[in-house]
Amino acid sequence: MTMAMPLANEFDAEEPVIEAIRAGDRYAFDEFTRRQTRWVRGVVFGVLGNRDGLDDVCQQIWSAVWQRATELRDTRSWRSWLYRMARNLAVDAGRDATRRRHRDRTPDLAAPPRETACPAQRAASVEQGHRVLGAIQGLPAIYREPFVLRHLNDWSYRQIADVMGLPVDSVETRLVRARRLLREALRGEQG
Amino acid sequence: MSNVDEHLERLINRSLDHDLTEDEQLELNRELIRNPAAHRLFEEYASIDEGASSALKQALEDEQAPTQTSPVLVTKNKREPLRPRGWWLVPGAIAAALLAMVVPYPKTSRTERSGAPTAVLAPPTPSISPWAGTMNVLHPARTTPVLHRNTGTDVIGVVGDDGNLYWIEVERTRTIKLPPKAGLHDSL
Repeated sequence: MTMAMPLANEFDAEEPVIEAIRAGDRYAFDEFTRRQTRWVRGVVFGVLGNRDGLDDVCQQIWSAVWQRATELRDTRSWRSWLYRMARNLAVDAGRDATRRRHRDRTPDLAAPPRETACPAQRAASVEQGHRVLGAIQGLPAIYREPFVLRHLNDWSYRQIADVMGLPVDSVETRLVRARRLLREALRGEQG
Repeated sequence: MSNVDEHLERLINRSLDHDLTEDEQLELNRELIRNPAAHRLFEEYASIDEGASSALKQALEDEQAPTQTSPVLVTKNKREPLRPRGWWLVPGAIAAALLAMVVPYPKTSRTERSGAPTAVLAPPTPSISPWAGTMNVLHPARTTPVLHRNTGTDVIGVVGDDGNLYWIEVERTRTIKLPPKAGLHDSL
């Protein structure tokens, strides 16, 4: 299910939910997390580039939302507020993971987690999905983030731009480059 | 991509992202018919998009179920206790009932003795959340988080083996709600 995202000057059905959360309504909070979890996970994945620790970061995000909802001055800007919070926490988690890897001298686990485990008997479409996912994980974060938001949530350029605080042209350029890089990566695998 | 220039590549991207105007769509259609390289690129990108959408949805949603349960239930700092509301009334109510049965004795609260303002603990007011209709759940509404303290003394009279009456005083202080504010990323 994809949540429709209102454009500027449209009524945002989530605003009353945010108000309820600010007042401490946990049931509104549960409903809110259920509806927004997909794109928030997309943001975290876009930053981390892998699924290691994704659930932990999401827990931190929702915990922070619950604790800090009263700090949100303008409920109309909840989406960019949530995006910034999700992104910052994901960036921190990514740094921590990098430090741990350096300290422990363990191999980089950011590679596609399921790629190597893909048995030969699996359907070609599933294998293709894993290959594409691996290629997405290999994208630079600035291209991966809008690409994930676009493809996970079917958001328009405008919607992505609003959330990320970027000009629409920049979003478009990043998506063009993301596709170009993905194409090259997948061609390279085949070749 | 020798036969596909930057402009045409952008048109292909916008088409896949449903962000084309009618004129741009016509222009793209003409180019796709005329230029086989552009057509191949379009099909490649469409295939990548299709694979990316399903791979991302599958990857990010198949691990999502365990976290769907109320996120606050697993956090350490929260604005609401995990116990059912009013749980703290039970021991007090038992003590008060015993007290009423055994002997009348004036209760003296600690706050009264110290001269500090007495905290008034209002009973929970049941109401219906404006979101209850959406969620089919009735629940008590929350008020602005406040630190409540319920402080007082319970006294119980017990007849000892020697036949004398002994008084047992029980001091009780419980924290009901604690809104944690110091938290993550103050710069946010």
